[in-house]
Amino acid sequence: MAKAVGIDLGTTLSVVAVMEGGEPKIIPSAEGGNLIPSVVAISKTGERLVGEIAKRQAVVNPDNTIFSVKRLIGRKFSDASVQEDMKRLPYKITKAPNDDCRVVMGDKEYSPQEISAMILQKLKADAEAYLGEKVTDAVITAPAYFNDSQRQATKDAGSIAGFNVLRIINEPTASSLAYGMDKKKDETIAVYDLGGGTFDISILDIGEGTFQVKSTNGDTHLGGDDIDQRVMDWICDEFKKEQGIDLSQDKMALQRLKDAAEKAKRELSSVVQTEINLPFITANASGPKHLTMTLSRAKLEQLSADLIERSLGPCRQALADAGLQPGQVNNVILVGGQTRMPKVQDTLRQFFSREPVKGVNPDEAVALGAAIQAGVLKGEVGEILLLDVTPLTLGIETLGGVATPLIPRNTTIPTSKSQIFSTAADNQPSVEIHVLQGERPMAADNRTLGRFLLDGILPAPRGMPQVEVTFDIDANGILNVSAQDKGTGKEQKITITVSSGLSKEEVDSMKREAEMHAAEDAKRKEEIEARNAADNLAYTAEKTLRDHGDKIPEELKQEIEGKIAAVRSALQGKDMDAVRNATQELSQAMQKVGGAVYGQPGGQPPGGQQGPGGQQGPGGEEGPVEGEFREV
Amino acid sequence: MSEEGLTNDETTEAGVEEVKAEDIEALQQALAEQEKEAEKYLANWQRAQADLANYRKHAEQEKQEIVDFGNSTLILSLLPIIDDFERAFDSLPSELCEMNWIEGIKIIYNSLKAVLERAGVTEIKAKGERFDPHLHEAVMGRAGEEGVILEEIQKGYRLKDRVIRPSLVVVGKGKEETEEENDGESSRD
Repeated sequence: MAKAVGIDLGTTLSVVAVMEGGEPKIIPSAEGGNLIPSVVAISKTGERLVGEIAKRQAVVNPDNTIFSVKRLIGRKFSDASVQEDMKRLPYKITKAPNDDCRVVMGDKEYSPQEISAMILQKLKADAEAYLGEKVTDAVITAPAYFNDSQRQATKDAGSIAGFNVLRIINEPTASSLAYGMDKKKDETIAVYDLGGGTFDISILDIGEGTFQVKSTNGDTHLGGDDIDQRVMDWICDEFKKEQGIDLSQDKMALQRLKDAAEKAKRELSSVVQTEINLPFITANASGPKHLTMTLSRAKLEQLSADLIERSLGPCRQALADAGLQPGQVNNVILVGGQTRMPKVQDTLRQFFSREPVKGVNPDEAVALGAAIQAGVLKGEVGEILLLDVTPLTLGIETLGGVATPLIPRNTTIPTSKSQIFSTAADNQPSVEIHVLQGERPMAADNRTLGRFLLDGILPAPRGMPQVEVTFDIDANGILNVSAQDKGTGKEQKITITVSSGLSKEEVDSMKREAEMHAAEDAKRKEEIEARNAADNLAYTAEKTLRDHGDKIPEELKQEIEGKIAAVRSALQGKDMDAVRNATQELSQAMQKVGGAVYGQPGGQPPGGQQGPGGQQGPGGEEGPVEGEFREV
Repeated sequence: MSEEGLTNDETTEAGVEEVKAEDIEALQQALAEQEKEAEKYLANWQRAQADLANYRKHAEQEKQEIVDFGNSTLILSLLPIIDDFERAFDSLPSELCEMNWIEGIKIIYNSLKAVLERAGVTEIKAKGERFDPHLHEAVMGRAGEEGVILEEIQKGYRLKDRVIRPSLVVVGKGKEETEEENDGESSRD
């Protein structure tokens, strides 16, 4: 089924998102960014440009570059706000016969809907390129204060762009969805949206998955750009004080200053002090001048204090309109890039007497929420199955009491996993499958879920029989463990209801224990592995002597026999260094055997894949020696 | 007896049929419900499978993207240093030009550029070219041949085939020497 997208059609930036695997995801633009400037232009050559590309040529083509068209959509030409905006906008705005606005671009008149549609078309094309399929259904957001005519115009823009607009939803509602607020009941939330150029505050009531906008307010000309300007002005002033040169008249220097100011502001959201370094910013008779300054977070806050304070006026008004006190708001959520600034968060914390909710990328929250709404309307979200995870690792016990994991914790279920194991002794007639749950590396420290015996294994040297162990957990958490002898086809199985065993507390305490004992466990595991490796090597050496004794010079044979004995005796004791040394020596002696037996380099001592490396076999999934059952 | 038995039989048979008819109806209804359920499950399963397939595709794409452009953040943060080197050389006082020490600094600059070139970074041509917003960003206009780049304020770069930083340029606005001049000319000269 075709996907439905969610679109944040913003005044300065637009974003598109889609549900993917049950989660909303931002679709990157063809140019690589996530945020697309809401700018449309007709170039001098008649080419239509949208987004970043249109923005780059705005300076030299101001008459034919349309931005902030959202300020005009669905409004009458005679509208006071349109008359006000006309003074700020460099392109020509005309009056349509029905008193709607028209904008002029490339000697042609366009309705604001058509301009918005061009932006939407670009988003549509990007989404189609990303998803590899046609996209027609969309949810588009609009500010909570938009009236019917503005909403209808936005919807029309969607239709012109070729979308089937499923719904126009409020921006604060979309943000609330992105923050998962729909799961709350009977709450009042404030959505504080401080973007680059506009500020909106909305008070919402949530109940049983419905959102009701109680009141909304804002400032259409307040945002992060104003703070950037303050920082730029400050840098200019400081430089003038130090060097006596006025940078504000130097366009080239200003361009660098603007980038530096924005970068410094952003950095100060995570650090308390930042360097602004602009070497060769300008020059005078005495030579080149460098700009080096330190901007502290405190200074930035001082520079922007009144701007942030200004946002509280609309907040008070919105609360008053909703008939509420600041303390009556249950949640404050942050939207818009400027809310990353710690001072903004502090101010809100004080004003609402509670910690604002963070966690969703504030630039993307609106689009993400729109995508969720689109998913709900397409029946994708409601139908999504709640998938569980295994809280603890599941595995079996292998040689030396080691717990070998098959399904690691936090694996989404249902799932299944198979692995091939082998025997630990010659002619071993049966293996015991000891099913374990827990994070500790040693079997004894984990919880036993069950055990069973697979017998009837035909006599064979150790490491030869292949026993496939399969763990299968169904959606209800019921674990089926089966073991099959690949040689005879004989199978045994056990069914365990994993979830019945442990409470949440038990799971947590098991995880904690695992963390606490991590170091000593690792040491013990290492010991066992060393012992297993030693045992393996001694076994292989014995077998080699038995099978190929006639081809090995007597002298070497005796040397190896001596070293095997040394390994065996070291294994009796507890001195791990002795075990390791004896193994090492035997391994070196064995390397001579290959040459003697095969008379060529690269010859491997026989005995299967059990090289001196021991426990961890070289193979991938099919390699039969990843671990071995303990002897029964 | 036989007649009686027959009638008896008939009534029971009719009764059985009646029960059966009701049962069948209930069963049919249950079957229809089950079929609907099954259809729904199949649809959801297919959707989940499709989701997974698409997710895989995207994960692959993103992996490739990371391989190709993963270091673009680092490269972008190195470019201003290249800019600064170039500014320094541009304003090099003539009496220092001959200094061997300066020569050494130039070698350092060239090595840094070579590292970036090996990573696939190339300069975008600007001055004298026609202005193209896909490659260049106009920061001002000035009297001069219309649509032609008169001056490059900051070099632009490509990483492989992607523009990672457009050139910042001054673009010609035609010959009119009128009031539009004021936004660049005075400060530049």
